[in-house]
Amino acid sequence: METVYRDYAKKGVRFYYLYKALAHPDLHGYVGPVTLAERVLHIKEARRTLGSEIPWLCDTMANELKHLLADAPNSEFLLNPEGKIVARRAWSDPEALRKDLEEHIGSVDRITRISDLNMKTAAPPKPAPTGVVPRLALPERFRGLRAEPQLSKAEKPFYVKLRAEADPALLREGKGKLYLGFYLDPIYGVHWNNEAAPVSFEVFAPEGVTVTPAKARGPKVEQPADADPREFMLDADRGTSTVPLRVAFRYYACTDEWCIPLTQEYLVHWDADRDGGIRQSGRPGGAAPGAGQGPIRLLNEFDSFDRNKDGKLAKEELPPPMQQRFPMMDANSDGFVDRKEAEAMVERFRNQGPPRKKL
Amino acid sequence: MRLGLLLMTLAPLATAQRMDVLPQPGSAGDVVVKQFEAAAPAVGAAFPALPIHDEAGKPFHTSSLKGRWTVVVSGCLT
Repeated sequence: METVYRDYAKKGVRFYYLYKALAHPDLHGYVGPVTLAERVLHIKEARRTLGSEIPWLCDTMANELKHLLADAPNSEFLLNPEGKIVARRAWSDPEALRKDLEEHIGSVDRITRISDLNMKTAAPPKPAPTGVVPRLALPERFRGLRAEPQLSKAEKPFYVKLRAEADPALLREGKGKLYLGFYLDPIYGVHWNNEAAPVSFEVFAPEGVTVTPAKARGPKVEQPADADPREFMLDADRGTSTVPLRVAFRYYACTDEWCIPLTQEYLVHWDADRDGGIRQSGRPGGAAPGAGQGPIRLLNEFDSFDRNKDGKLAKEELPPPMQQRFPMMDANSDGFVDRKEAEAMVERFRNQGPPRKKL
Repeated sequence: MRLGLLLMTLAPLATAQRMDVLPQPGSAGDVVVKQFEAAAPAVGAAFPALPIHDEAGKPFHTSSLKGRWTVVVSGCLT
């Protein structure tokens, strides 16, 4: 997208990324912002890590524009000067967009290539070690629930974000498993202080609802600090209640300079969160195929993608989500991704993390 | 006539090639595409007009996108 932007911004075309709810919460440790100020910090983080010059727009915290655009996480729209939609795609496709712009605006003298750009990307923040506390593996069928932070009661930011998920039986029949995951928010650079008391939660269930255990402590961890989520699997029986659960979480929010004890509350609603995204971690067998695992999947499945067995991958041999990133994979811009380029992508992924956004 | 025959010959090939790269039926990607095709504003329709924010969090109305060719791409950190 950046190359198309560089070529057509100078022809008067405006480009915007639209920041909305996270598509894959927990990927690279990022968790959904709960205030507009936090979403603005996310945009700054996107600018820092992606190195893109394309300006951003910021959806409302209720994700109203996302909803009006049918919720696709990486959709693309071309508008004419009358504000009418001239082209639309569920998955952004920079090459197709370039063809649209060539048709409506005209071609450029010289097409900018990724290799022409000097995009300064950066790794996500890592305030403390991860991989210290084992993660829970959830079946893919778990659904994210709407967790509403009680901002009016909070004097400090929510340094920790709650992700609640339910198995389908709990939503459908009123009885089943409830997952509570408490994730440090990396935009604040905080970590757990394992030299203090472990984190703890308490669920205040309305009448007629039982949750077991209703309170628990997190694990005692040997390392003085880490950034792994604190996760709990509960049994819940809500019967026919639609009254939300109140969840209080006690923890120490700490950086290397300061450490404060906090108790913060959420209301967990018994309805699937339309903007909850798909969690990439904690799935059986590891992360699901998706944005974060793209390079590794590309290398692992190189031979099966290579349908014509010529030892290199053309764009059309890749699944659509990978096609979007083809220009970034094709380092020498020869129209193919060879095994060396795939290995280089994996190396970059392991050292720095993959691109944080579908470019 | 020859052009017509040529197109008739190529069309199934083009379709087959495209089918190879479409998301698997029932996959998350397939659901996204179908939902988008059914519910997103159509080509020729006006882009939704509503108040949102710029990247600094200041008010921005999408109606101000009129006046120039504009590309809008949804995205996020993950």
